[in-house]
Amino acid sequence: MDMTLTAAELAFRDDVRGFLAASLPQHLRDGARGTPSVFVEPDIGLEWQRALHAKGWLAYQWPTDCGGTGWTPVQRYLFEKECALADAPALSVLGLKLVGPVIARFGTAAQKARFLNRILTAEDLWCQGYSEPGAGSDLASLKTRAVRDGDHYIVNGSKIWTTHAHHADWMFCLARTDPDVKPQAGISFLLLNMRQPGVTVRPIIGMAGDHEVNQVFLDDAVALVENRIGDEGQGWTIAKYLLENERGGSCTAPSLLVRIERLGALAAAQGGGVAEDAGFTRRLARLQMEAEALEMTELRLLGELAQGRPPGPQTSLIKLVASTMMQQIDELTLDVLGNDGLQLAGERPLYGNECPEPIGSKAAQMAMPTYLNNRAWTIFGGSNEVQKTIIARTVLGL
Amino acid sequence: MHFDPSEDQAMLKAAVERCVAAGGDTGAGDLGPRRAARATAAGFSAVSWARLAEAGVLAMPVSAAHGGMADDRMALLLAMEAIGHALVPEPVLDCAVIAGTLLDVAGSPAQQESVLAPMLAGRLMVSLAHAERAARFNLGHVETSLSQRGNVMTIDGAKTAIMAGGAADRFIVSARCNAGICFWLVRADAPGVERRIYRLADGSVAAELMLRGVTVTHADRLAGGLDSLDRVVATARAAAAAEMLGVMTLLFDATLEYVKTRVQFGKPIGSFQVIQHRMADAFVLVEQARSQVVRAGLAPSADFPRAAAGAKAFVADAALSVAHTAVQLHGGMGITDELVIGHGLKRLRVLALTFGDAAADIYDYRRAA
Repeated sequence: MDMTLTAAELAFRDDVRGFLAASLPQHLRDGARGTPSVFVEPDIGLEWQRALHAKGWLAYQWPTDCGGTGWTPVQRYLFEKECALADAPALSVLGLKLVGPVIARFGTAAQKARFLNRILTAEDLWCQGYSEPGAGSDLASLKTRAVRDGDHYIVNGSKIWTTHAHHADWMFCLARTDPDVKPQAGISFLLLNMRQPGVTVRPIIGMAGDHEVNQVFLDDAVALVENRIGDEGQGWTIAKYLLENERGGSCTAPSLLVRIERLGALAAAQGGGVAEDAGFTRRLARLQMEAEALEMTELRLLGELAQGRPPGPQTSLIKLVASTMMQQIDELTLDVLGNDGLQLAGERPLYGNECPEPIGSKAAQMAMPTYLNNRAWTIFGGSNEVQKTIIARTVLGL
Repeated sequence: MHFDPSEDQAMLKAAVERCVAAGGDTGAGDLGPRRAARATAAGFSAVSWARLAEAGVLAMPVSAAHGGMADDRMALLLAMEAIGHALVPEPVLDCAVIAGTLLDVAGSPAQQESVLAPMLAGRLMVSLAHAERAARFNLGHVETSLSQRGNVMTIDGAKTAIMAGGAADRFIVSARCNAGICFWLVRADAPGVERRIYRLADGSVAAELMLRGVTVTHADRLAGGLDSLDRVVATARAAAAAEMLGVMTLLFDATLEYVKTRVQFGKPIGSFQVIQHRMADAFVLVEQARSQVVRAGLAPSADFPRAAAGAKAFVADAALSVAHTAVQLHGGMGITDELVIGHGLKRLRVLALTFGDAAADIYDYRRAA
């Protein structure tokens, strides 16, 4: 067993640190810390994306022949860890982590040429058309219908929980192209232009007041056959590949550990004896031990990847633990803040000149909306109940 | 970066597994050898103990000078996991790890020759007599005291929870003296030593001591004081965590097998989602506990006491949770003495209090941060 970093890996980490120190401006760090929602808004997200693209580090999750960096799993982890420690805005996963690798893996040469570079340049912003009002955890029961008509499909149906659909130029979506076979076999993976008359986006406002997700109505929307990824009926296979990417490739523990450390400092600053309260210190220590275990679980997974072995279903495990921990940290933060934690500013964004003055502290201003929005973590990308079923079936053979 | 065992680590683990197989402590359901060992006055098998000594397993926690591999902490933890997985009744943790490490770090050369060496060879049983009832888990609370009249030094006091104390030939007794808290080697049959033997939940034989004017000499005193105990505590906590990981893995695997084969309502109970989710939760705990043990094994020396305290608190909690799930999912059979489940649960209860409960572990974990 050996978890020491090689000289080359240490040099790489120092490179990343140097780049972050020089190229990640304070207003982006403040923006990231002032974002209570799961995704950052394009104003800060895209500025950071452009800086990384200029450096050549943006497509680090893509194969090298599609512009990827060729980093090892360890390098990818180190990059994400350093970004998290530096409060870098989270990159939007929709293009970079979800549809990008799908196009790189399953797309034709023409599709790669048409779409991939525009993801990197942010000329195209993407959204994900998976869930439907009647198809959440039971995704395979989706009803959106795509009917072939010459060189295009006519698409009818509705997608929901569509993150950033109101910013998106394109949607990658699952639609039923054959209603007469078993549910999984009749689904195709289509790329659909959002800028067309048949597409209507209705905002859904979250508990905290953030507009992150939407419902999207497709009424005779058009998707070109040339923009179908893979064969007709191959959509479910592609969707599963994408979901594994959504859940896995995990570097979640470092940011949890940062939040736990800050929570200790917050308790000390909050006063009133909370930092010395035995109940608080015990809960904080438990969270820290759990996060340290998770960090090692992620490194063990990384060790498997670095040996060229498949990651396996540990990604479900990591999603399960990380999402639960995130919510426990949110709850403990509210408990520490007491009355100060009750504030819920209606204004957005909570960074920059327009941000209202916080009551008590910036941390107190962020706590409630963060807590409310993060309840989504145990639901999206396959709810924790779905993850447990995956573990039971694929790992435990039940 | 990789997490595969080294050749040395794999060899030690294999040596433990060979001993275990020879003793019949497979943990795989045949509780016969375990029952027979526990039924003896000492609570373990002298034959198995000799076999562990012969294979070098008892020496693993001590430094290379005494035939051990103390600088390969991960090897020790892998071996302890194997011991837990087989529910080995022999007192490897209490004698080899705890008393062995203390004599290794704090014993004089003469003591290492006359006490440590025969202990590692399996010929002498040594137990640490440190805990006192009023101390709870405060390791610095020692009321037992040493007094000196002329050239005669005597120890008076009472000790409790002396693990494997029933079979001990020697005790390492902590006592307060002018220099602070010191450790003294005391013969079990020395005048003034009154030993009361009792059984613990896991069937092991512990002891309490009443010490009334027990005479000791300078040659009986260990060189190190309470500070040397800190090193022992860290190693013991990590080793206990590893043993608990082995036990919880055993119980998890047995339960997984059981829910696949136990049929109710016309199908295996493992096909019910409520059972599946409980097993998924238990699986997560096993994996996270393993990560904590690996973390303690690979921690740099300066971080080790903290990592060990955290690992023990975390693994104890996780292991007991898995054990309770194992009892529950085995239904009526789970509460009997006939399966490894109950034996594992009882062993976990004892291991969980090695040098303190979760509150004590977490206190040290936070203090060392």
